[in-house]
Amino acid sequence: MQWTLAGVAALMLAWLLAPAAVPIYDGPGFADEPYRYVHPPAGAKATPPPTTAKRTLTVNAQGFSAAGYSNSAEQGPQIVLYVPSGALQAPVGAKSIDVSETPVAPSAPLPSDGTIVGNVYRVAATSTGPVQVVGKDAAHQPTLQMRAPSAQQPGPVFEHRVGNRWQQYPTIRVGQDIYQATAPVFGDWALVKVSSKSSSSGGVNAGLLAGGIAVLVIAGLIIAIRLVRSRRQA
Amino acid sequence: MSAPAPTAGIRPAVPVVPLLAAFAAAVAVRVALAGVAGASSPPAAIVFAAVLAALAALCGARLTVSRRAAAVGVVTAVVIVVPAVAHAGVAMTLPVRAFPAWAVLTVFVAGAEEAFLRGALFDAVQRRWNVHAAVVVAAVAFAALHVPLYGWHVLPLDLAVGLVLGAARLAAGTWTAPAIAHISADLAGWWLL
Repeated sequence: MQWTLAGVAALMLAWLLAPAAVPIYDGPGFADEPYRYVHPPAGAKATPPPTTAKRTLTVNAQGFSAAGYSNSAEQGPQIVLYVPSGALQAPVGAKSIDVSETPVAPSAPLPSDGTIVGNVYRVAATSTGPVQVVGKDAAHQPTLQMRAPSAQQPGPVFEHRVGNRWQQYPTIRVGQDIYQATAPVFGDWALVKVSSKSSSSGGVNAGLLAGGIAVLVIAGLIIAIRLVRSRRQA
Repeated sequence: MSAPAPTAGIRPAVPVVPLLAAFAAAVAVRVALAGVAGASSPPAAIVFAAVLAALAALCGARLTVSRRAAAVGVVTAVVIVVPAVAHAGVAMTLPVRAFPAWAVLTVFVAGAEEAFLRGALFDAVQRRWNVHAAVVVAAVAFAALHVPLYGWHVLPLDLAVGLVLGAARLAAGTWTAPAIAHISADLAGWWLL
């Protein structure tokens, strides 16, 4: 019973402290469809156009938004916006807030510190009047997740267009090719591969594979020998 | 004086350190085979699960099906899934036609993980030290295997889930119960994406 209570308590605490959209437990991942570009680069697979994510969030009497997700429709959504409860505020009297993430092609001015990978997504929130992000900290502000076209490392970082420049935001990797950042403002967001970082090839890691197999064989032999000896002594 | 007759049902002790080393090596093999595909690589997941299943079989982990194990497993699955639903809601963005094949793979991988973690490893650690150490070691190993695939930020949540699954193992007396819970939670995850 004590471990049951401890486990449940730990689970509740972990969910309270978890980043907005931690991968749900585990299970072999589902392969994503090829990345959909607004303007595909040379050599990219032919795909349908990328989709716009839209969601209508209800608001309470004071105009504060309910929680909700706004996901694009690709298999393996290319963008996910999570709005915690109370993160947005619409004018008093508004009944709802419409959030959207629209894919657009990268256009000048481009980031000076790297290259945009994938699409730029224009994140917007509309209502009967201006909508504000009122959450004071990361746990109460909207969160963006974007899928990069590949899982090559080092991965890209989130950047937000501010006037004629782009500003980096702290980015965490939440999946093989999925990245997440707190988004306290609306506007244009993109994943940027920062320059001067070499990238991994992405194929089978032969050295790690050989080492793993060697350790596996040795450990397996040790276990088998010890079991045989134990049975003989029994 | 002749040696005492072997006691029926007593399995020989499995060495813990080589077992943990073999587990770490299995994770390394999965990561190495998967490359950039990571958790989305079915071949790497199948190899990983096959290795864990073989290790569990070598150590004598037996599949025990009982009403108690099923009941504990189902209740544990509810405990695990409810906060996830409360957190994420139900989205169902993945294609239904792909679910059966994915589900078969998930049952194999999650089942093999439990046969090893809450079966062979749990038994080995419990025999070497005590049941509390077994719950903790299995939970830490469960959490650690997710880090190369998803990143360090999943450690707290997966550690907590590992403790809950360990409690299910204790309550049911067999790894079948946490296997039912683990598989159910993973399958439910499809509908939360």
